[in-house]
Amino acid sequence: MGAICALGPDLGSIWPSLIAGAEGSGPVTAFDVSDCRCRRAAEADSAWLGEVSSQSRRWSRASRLAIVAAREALDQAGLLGQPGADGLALSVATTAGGMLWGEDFLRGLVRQRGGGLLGPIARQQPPQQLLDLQAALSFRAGPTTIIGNACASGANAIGHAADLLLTGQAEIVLAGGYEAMSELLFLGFDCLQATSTTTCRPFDVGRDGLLLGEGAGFLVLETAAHAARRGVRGLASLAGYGHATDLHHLTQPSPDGTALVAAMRQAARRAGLAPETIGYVNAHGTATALNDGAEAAAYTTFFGSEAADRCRISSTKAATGHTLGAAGALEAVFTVRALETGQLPPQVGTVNALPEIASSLVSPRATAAPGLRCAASVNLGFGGANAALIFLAEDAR
Amino acid sequence: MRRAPHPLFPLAVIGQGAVSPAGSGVASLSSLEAIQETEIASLRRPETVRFPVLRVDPKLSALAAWAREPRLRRASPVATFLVEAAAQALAGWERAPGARLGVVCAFFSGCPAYSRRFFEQTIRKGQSFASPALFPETVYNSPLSHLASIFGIAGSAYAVVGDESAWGEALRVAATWLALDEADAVLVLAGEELDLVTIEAFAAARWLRRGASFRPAEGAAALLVARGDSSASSLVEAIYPPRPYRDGPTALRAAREVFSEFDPELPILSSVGHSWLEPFEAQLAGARLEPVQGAYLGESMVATAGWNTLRALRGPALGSRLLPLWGQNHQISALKLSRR
Repeated sequence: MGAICALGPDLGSIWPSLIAGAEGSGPVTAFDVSDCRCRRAAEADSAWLGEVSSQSRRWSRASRLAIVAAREALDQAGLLGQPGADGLALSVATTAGGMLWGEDFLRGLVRQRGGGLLGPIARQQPPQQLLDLQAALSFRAGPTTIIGNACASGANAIGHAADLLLTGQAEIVLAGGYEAMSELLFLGFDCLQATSTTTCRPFDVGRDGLLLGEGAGFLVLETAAHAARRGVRGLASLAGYGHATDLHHLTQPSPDGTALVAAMRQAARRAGLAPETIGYVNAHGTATALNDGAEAAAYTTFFGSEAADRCRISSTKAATGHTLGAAGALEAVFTVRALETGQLPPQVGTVNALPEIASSLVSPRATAAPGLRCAASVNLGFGGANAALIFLAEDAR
Repeated sequence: MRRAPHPLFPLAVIGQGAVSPAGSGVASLSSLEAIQETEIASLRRPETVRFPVLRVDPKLSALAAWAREPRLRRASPVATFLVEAAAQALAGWERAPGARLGVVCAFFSGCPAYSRRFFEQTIRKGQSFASPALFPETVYNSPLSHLASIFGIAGSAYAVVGDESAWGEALRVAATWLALDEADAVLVLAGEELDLVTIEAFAAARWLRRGASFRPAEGAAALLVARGDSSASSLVEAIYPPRPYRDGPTALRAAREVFSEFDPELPILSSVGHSWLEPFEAQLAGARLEPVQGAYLGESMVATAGWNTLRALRGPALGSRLLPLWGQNHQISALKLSRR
């Protein structure tokens, strides 16, 4: 697994910060926000993105975030620089991976810059960023699927990777998501008044919006047989995946969380597990008024009110920011690390929790979960995309 | 999770739909009548530069009928193209009670009209002019969301992104869901809309230049697929694994690798259009190259790949054919299609 976000350049540095309740929020530096309602975001430190070389100079910030996290994942899997990486299938998510180029291109058009200056930008699309990734990490990928299901994309990309393994289309897949801070996205959420002007407070009665972030998360998924042949031990197993579409509204979830319940039920069915088996949920928890209410309702329906009290829940977005297309992948990485370590990311930012979920939220004073064997990561997105992943600890298979 | 209980292929094609510069409906794709070009003024030099393009006729009655649909009132044009193509593909399908329908839609440029309007407004007038009405429509999967809502598709729905090869990946996603028994039928779509920003990008990349035959185009294609059996008259028999490339030499290498996996007995359908990859097709396919039926529809990336598939499945000849998916940006792959 590999990760980068505002809390650090790798999982080794991110995880202790997350468990300690750190918050990645800071003033926006990527562009001028003086005319915006919100002026804070969770940006990754540019120094973490590697030195700029003649090759990497043309890579976008989004590519460079993806490269850092994918390098860590391939390295941990014993594939970095190895022949086994060639032909690796890619299942990757982004909502606006190419947007920084798009912004530069449009600015160039409006300011009537010469066509010669715009040519190199014009060819840049999200797939080009995955070619950057292959160039940087010295491998040639096999089939590549890019999923653009808004903020659920990262979970979809991981679920799709599992589906490729289950149908025999691949034995090993690099799956994940990436997103860089973009002015268009920032202005978009700002004008929707979906960003917080105070503090990001997921599942809080007084929540007033999300904290935008950037980052990347990647996991290497492979069949047990392939892992055995390579002589490697898995960190956890992906036991279930579900996805469903909310038809209620383009940007607003159905208040009862119906589609999220459907996605979680499908994941549980495919895992062959009852809801009460799940000990922790890394929630979507954006801290917007509409998302968190619908999500809390979905947990009550899925778990039943008593089981919901037993399951522990936290949203890591108050710490990392909402990394959009990367969120599902980054949060899946955190969920697997929770199973590995028996520690849960606490719910930071929240002061006065929604009553229906208050008893489940992970307290900063009680992050230990020594018996944790099964955990889920769920995401919702614009367009009604909903996805759920259920992981089992490696010794629980 | 259990392994797939069904094979991936073949996929039976049980419904088809198209919206293109040739009109609405799959039959229009086979028309030999040349498409009327229109011109769009450059965003950068509007007084002096005009680009020839092939557009969908906005007065098509099939499209106008969707204007009353609430979810499409503020949607990007590509959403209407996709909804109409989907309606055609679903028209003859007798959906059994409880049948699970999935939808996967391929995009290259997504919703550039709204993205450009939203961001251009903030560049020209200032950040405080960012429009909350426009922003949600800039997301890749917003047309898919409208379509799912209109047709009541509450299950599996993916937007996949890429060049022409993404059409093959969309079909692969459909095959995967069907093999895993997560859907009974899957609507596979591809859609593109033309906007000044994409046309300028084609020009800046020198795909669209004076004297070149490349014409940007727009529209949508739809296939409704289910698990195939011997009774199906139109089948997707295989999707060849895509090969990535970065530049001209590596594109030729990628195409050679895809072609090396082809059955040497089967004809290869011409599908490269007037893209920059045009010389490679003749070089690699040689005497096995067969024309597709119909006039040049322009370059509409994933939609073009969809239209070529529909043409191949409706062509006069029976038997199996190979259809290369000449991705103009990053990947080359191919489909094996058959008519019985």
